[in-house]
Formats: sequence, C-alpha cells, structure tokens
Amino acid sequence: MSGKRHENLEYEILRMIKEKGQEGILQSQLWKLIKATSREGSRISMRLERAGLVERQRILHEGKWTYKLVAKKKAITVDTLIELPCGFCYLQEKCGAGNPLSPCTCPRLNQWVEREAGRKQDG
Amino acid sequence: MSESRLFEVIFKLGGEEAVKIARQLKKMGRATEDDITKATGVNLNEVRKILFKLRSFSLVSSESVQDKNSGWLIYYWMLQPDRLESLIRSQKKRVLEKLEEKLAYEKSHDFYRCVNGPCGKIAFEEAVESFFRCPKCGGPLEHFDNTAVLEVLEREIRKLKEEMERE
Repeated sequence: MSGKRHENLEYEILRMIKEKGQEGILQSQLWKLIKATSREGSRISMRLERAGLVERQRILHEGKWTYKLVAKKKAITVDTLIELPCGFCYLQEKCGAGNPLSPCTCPRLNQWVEREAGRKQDG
Repeated sequence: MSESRLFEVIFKLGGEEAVKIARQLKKMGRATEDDITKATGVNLNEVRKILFKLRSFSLVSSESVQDKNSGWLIYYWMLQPDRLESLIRSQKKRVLEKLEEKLAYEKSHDFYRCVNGPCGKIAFEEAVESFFRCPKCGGPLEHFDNTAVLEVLEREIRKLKEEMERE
C-alpha cells in the first residue's frame, strides 16, 4: 500500500470515527464503508490508538468478539465561531494590540455583547 | 467536515456571491477569474475581491501560468475544502485572544452611557474629559453597569476553551 493512500485512509478513518461521537463505530462496519481490507484497517486503527486519537473497546457483537472505535477528540464545530462577530471578521488583520482597531472598542463587538447581555437579563 | 459547513463559513466571509463563486470552483475544479465571471454572473472586480479574501483565509489557492501568446500571467483558482478544519482551529485561537483582551478591558474600566439612547458607552476617563456629556449628542451620561457584559464574555470564552480542549 502506498504511503499517500495510507495517509489519506488514516485521515478518512479518523474523520468517520469522530463523526460517530461517543457512540463509536464497529471496526468491521468501518472497513466496509471505506472499502479497506481488515488487515489495512486494523493496522491503521492500532496506529490511531497508539497516537492517542482513538480508543479501541473490545465488545461482543452478534456472538463475535470485535472492536468498537471511539474518538478521544470530538469532531470540530464551527457554530460558536459563526455566532461571534469576530469569528470571520474582515477587519481581523487590523484588530488587536499594535493595530489601529481593538476588540476593546470595536462597535460591532460592543453591540453584539450588549445585545446578548440584554437577552440574558430579559430571559 | 461537511460541505454545508464549508459553504456556511464562506457565506460568513463573503455572502451569497462568495458561495456562488465557491460552488462554481468546486464544479470546475480549476478556473480563471473570467471563467468564474461568465459562469456566475458576478462582476469581475467582485470576483477578484472575494477570491483574495478567501485566499487570505486559505480556503482557495491560486497558481499563475504565463500565456504563450500574450506573455501575460493567467491566474487559476482552486477551492481548498481540506483547509477548513485548520482554519477553524486557528480562528478559534484568534477569537479567544480577542475576547480575553476585551474581558480584561471591561474588568479594568468603569463605563458611562448616554441617557438619550444608542450613542454607545464610554470609559470613565473619556467621560471626565467631556464633563459627563455624551461626545456624540451632548446628552447627560449615566453610569453603566457592565456585569452582564462580563458574564457574556466569560461565557463565550468558556465555550470556546471547552470546544478547543475536546476537539
């Protein structure tokens, strides 16, 4: 198996395991989804475990012993960032210490924070 | 990360036209600014502006090729969906720094606000200089209790830190 294919497969497997959250995914199901051989898959999952990225839990499934893979880290989310006015602000490069703009006096951030504060008090 | 997330971020960066451009790039794989203009109907200047903005966040990349006949450089643009995760991680760090800076400022200052309405709040030092009159409309200033503001900032900082720890 080429190094590049191996790397891509590793990334893909980790992504799929992360998406399953705390529920995890059975090794056998995962290999079918990514069309990898169980040998390829097992090697990768062991490597991910050694790197501290996933946990392999030995479980009995339909009368057979298998492994369930659970990610130690959750899939990355963007919701909080999208809600915040600084999230993807177009003035970001000009904002902060040593720059002409500052988060301390930014009108957009002020408005947002005060609106949220008002909502909190109303609720 | 799902494709819808990618377009959600792109929308946040450049609105509906940026999404149109990104979708077109995804369809074409590699395209010039002219190709994008023709396919989307977005004017050339706007296409350039959006592409440069998306490039500054590493969501698109470009390569230049010299035209054999004219000798001019032609730019080809490509979408980079696989950069989204690292962009989100770095943005979270940046935003966290900004919120922490804002929180420190709010904690170390006393604020005053115009009684007339939405002129915004000013720090005590500035209020003294203007003899407790609003610098915008001249109305009287009253003390502004920023406890709720501090709570919102602390909540958002906590949320971001927790997300960064578990992702």
